[in-house]
Amino acid sequence: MFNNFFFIGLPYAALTVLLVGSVFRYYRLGFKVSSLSSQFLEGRELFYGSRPFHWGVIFLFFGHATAFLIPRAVILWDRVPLRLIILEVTALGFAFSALFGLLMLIQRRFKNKRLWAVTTKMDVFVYIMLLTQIISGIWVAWFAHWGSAWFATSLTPYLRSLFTFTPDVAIMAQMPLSVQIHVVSAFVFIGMIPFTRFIHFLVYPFAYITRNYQVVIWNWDRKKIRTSGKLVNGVRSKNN
Amino acid sequence: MNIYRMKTLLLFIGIFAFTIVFAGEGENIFKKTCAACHTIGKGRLVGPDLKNITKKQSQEWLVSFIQSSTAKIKSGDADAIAIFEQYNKIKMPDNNYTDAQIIKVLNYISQASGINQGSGTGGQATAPATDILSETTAENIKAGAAIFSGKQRPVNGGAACSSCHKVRDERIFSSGTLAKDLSLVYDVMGSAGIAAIVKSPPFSVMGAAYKNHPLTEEEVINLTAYLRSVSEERIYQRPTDFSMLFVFFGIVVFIIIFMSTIILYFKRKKLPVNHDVLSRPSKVIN
Repeated sequence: MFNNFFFIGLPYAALTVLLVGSVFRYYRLGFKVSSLSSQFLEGRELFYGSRPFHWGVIFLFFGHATAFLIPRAVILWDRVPLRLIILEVTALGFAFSALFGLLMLIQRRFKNKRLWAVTTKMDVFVYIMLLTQIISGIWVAWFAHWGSAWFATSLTPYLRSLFTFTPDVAIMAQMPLSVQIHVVSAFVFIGMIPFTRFIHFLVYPFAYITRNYQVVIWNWDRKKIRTSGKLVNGVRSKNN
Repeated sequence: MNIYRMKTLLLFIGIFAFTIVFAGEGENIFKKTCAACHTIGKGRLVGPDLKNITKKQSQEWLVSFIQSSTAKIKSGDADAIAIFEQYNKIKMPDNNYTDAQIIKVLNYISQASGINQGSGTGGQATAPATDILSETTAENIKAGAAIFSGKQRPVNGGAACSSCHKVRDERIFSSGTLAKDLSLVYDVMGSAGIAAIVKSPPFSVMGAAYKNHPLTEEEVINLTAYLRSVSEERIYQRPTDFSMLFVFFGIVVFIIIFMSTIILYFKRKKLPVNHDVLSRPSKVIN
């Protein structure tokens, strides 16, 4: 009954909002096109949460993109059972990594008062979205083997049908609940990109590759430098 | 006046074109969606023979049943439950067709029922006379197993059956669990039913997967033969369950990733820039 809403209306609404919203945010609130960093407020736990989370999410993002853009290659890869298992196990490992990282980040934010002070309602929403997305993804991987194979054969035609403006909702209507939740939350996620910190995945600091060196003055501990055994006359010492 | 004439002419041309395009819609839908499991006057397949079905049930009942047989059964409709029980408790997949489209299909069925008046038996008990598996050998079963597991690529491409389906067979190393377990499918549907479904899948997920990669006649026979052998030999098979191993290795991969992130980025500045500045005076005080 709600199939048309969830699998036709929502995707188009989400993609439209993503396009219009991102352009709007970039031109009107250019400085805010970022994920407000909290590394300055807390760095140690951020390291153990952010690394595994981003590694997991980036691998999974490109995995899904591959199955969508070149399904034929994925089907050929999956033809040999051992290769299929290797792909699935690796993907599950990255999913666990993303989940672990996310849980670390969530507990870090709730634990630290100074982080809580800079947390917005939308950040909490982002955590809920990501948790839903990752848990439903693991649920799919666990109960509906083998995702890489049937994504390429059955879900790609649905996604393609959206982009060719001939949406075929019948495929999604027959999918298990776990897959439906995963897909719906993915589209909500896409639609919310312009309003949340998700926006930072649209901007990459490519300028860093070609920019000139910058002089950065760390906090120099003069005493440490004076007493350092590494200090060589005529060579500028490196602090930190 | 000329303009009015032209408009009238255009209207007629439009109606004519529309009629040509849509006249066969009922037949097309029937062949595409219904023919995998139903015949008109040629006996039962997976579902009942639909000959004269429009005389046996009212149009409203048929339209609602075709749109969602599950909902009809759940609502406690006696006829729907009787059909469900009679046909091995296989639910007919729900359809997304509009009322108008279904009525076109029903019209086509009643039309075709008239044509087949003399020839078919019209009953629901008779099965097709010839079994497609009557001349199959062990070779067919082997070829079918290769297609099922993905070792052999189907002529027109397409994914291995084991991507989504599971069977109780030690030879199949990795079976999917998205779709139905096919270990008992032969007992439930018989060779004609399996062949019909494989040839033109009435399920949209499977239909999407094989839309551009249809299986050949020979591949369908091989697969059906294989599924029969699975059903016959299932009590001797003890396939390994890889589910727990899957999760175990997933955790192993996670640990590898986690350790890599730590090793690769360990020298990275983990503490805020002001940490040293803030901690320095405390050293002096202590």
